[in-house]
Amino acid sequence: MRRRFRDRYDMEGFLFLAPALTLLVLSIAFPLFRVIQRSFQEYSAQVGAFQYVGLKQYQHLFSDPLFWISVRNTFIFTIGSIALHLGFAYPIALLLNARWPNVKIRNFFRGAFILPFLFSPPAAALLWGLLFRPLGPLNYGLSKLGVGQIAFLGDSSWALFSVMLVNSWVYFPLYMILILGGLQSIPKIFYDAARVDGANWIQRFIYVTLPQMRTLVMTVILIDFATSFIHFDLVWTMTKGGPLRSTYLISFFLYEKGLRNFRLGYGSAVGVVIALIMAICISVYVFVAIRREEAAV
Amino acid sequence: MNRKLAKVLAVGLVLALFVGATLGVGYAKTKLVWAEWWDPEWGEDTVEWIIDTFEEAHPDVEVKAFFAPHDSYSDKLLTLCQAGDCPDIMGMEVTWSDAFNRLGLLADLGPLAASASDEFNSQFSPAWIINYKGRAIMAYLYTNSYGIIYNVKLLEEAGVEPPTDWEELREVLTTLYDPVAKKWGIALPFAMKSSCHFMLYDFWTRLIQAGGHMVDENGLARFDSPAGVRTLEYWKSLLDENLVYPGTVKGALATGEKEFRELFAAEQVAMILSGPFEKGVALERNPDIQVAFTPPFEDCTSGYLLTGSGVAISSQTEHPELAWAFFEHLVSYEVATKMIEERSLTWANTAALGAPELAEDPMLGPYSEMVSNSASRSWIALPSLGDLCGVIMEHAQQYFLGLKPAQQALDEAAEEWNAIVTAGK
Repeated sequence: MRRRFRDRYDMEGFLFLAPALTLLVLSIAFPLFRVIQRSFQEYSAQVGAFQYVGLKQYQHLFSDPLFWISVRNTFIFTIGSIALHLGFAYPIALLLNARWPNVKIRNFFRGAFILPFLFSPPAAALLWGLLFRPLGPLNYGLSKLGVGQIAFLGDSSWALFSVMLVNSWVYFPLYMILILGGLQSIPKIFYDAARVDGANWIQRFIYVTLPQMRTLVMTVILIDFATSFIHFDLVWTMTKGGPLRSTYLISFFLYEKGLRNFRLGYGSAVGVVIALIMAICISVYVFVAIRREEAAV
Repeated sequence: MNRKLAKVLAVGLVLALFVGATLGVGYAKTKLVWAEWWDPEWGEDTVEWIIDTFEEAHPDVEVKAFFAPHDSYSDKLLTLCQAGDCPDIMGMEVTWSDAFNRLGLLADLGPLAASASDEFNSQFSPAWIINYKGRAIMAYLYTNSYGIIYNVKLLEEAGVEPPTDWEELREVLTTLYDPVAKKWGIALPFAMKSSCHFMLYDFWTRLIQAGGHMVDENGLARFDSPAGVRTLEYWKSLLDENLVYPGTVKGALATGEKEFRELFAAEQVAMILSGPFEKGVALERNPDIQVAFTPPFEDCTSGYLLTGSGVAISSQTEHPELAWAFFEHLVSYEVATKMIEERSLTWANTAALGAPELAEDPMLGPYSEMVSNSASRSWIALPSLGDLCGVIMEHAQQYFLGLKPAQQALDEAAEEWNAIVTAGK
């Protein structure tokens, strides 16, 4: 048995992996364990130490209406951001991947579309804060078109969409680059074969591009989900969750309860719940995506 | 010969390095870190001048300023302190002090004050030291109240006198309101991102004037009163009459501190409700602006909210005596005179505040009347201040938008407020 194990695995390889694995365990597993442990504890100022409180933090969390508001907003924000990111990134990547009459102009646009990604989130928040002002340039343009003044960040029915839009503006170049890279890696021979079969450009897109890009798009959605779900800086700078908590995200809840109010046990419980929600969502998504891919094959 | 010369040079170089290093060790300066948010209010030059004058008197000390903007200051500082890297001396607001004190981050100033210099004892009132739960946790650098500050030129151009009460303020705003030219008399930061400004400045000040109390001695809500309703109704009436920039309720709910300061400094609005430090902020952006406080208002009472900003010494500091010496420098006659004259701040130095010309100062003149009024109230240390501000702002916004009556908004806010305060204790 021992021999067979040695035959199957290169034991020396494990030795070489050991430092990296130790580092991983120390940097991921240990903090994770501590957060889970803390979520069952409460800091007692009288004793000066953490004390075990059972499920109290979770009971408190699930009965807090603000938590559920933040969960709802976060899902809307995440799904909306993914849709907007792909909505901007995919068509632009297709456009930039197409044959242009002048390569220099195409390359110029490839550079130009990356520009928003160079803005730090607070800088983008300040820029869009100016544009969104009630008497700012956007509202001026809208008034010239006969549309009334829109309080982009002051109207609870607009605010979440407005911050999603800014989030999409800042981050779509990242996804555009990833998709463009994927498009460029599709073998040209597939398109040539499709052309020989008489496929027009829509059919080539549906039967060649989309299937070839499926895995990459799935990865892009996963990355986007993971980053949007715990998004903080941009929206915090723009609205701090207002008006009427309409842009209050789960990361704000964690920050305010756990860090600003020093309720580390409660904050840890929030962290654990966030991790669980993300793990469940990602698992379901990956499971469904793999099943679909298998069915397609 | 050449080898000898090389040897001599080498020995000389080694000696020089040794002597240099030894001298360097001998003259290593003690570092003192001062955390502050005052760069935009006092100007970076003033902050540097304060440090330079201290270092001149203490050549063996090097003071390093750690700046963070006011709205993110306490969060950043708390993170630093929890990492064991607390600045030696920290700018501090009374409203934040509970959070720092609970974590044991504030040194007791009592023993340090007991051995203070004679000059300090003769010029610093003990009333400027904040005692909390039996310990002296911070001391004021300057005290102030919040009131209506106006742009002198804009009011003169409009031909109106500064208002003397809240209804006159409404009249002045009506005069200044020009929907065609898109001009408003006042901007108020009613956005969630400025919830503490709304609670401390706009709501609390107006509440005292309406004859109400914000909290009881335990920090529990008392604002859910007829005076609280009167307060919210007043602000809503200004919003409904389109008298507040930008003329719509929803627009006002997007206006934060940053925007209202820019609008005031750019002379796009003539008035704001804030403290005397706004003069410094406005001057940094517009050196030609002339600002003044209106005469103290009177509604049901003529009281104001008495506040201030100060410093605390970290319990983590290795140099508490030096940190105290720096504090003594901050409230010295030299610094106080400069801050009073240039920044119109009522600096915590009795000798400097005693100057008779202060009564003529357009920013400081009305202050003594505000402070001496028996109806004026001091703010107190409150736990989880950010949450409390958010509660007041959220329910006020719901009322401003007509989603619920004022009394219901205040009742619900009071319930949430009390839950937070009770949990915080």
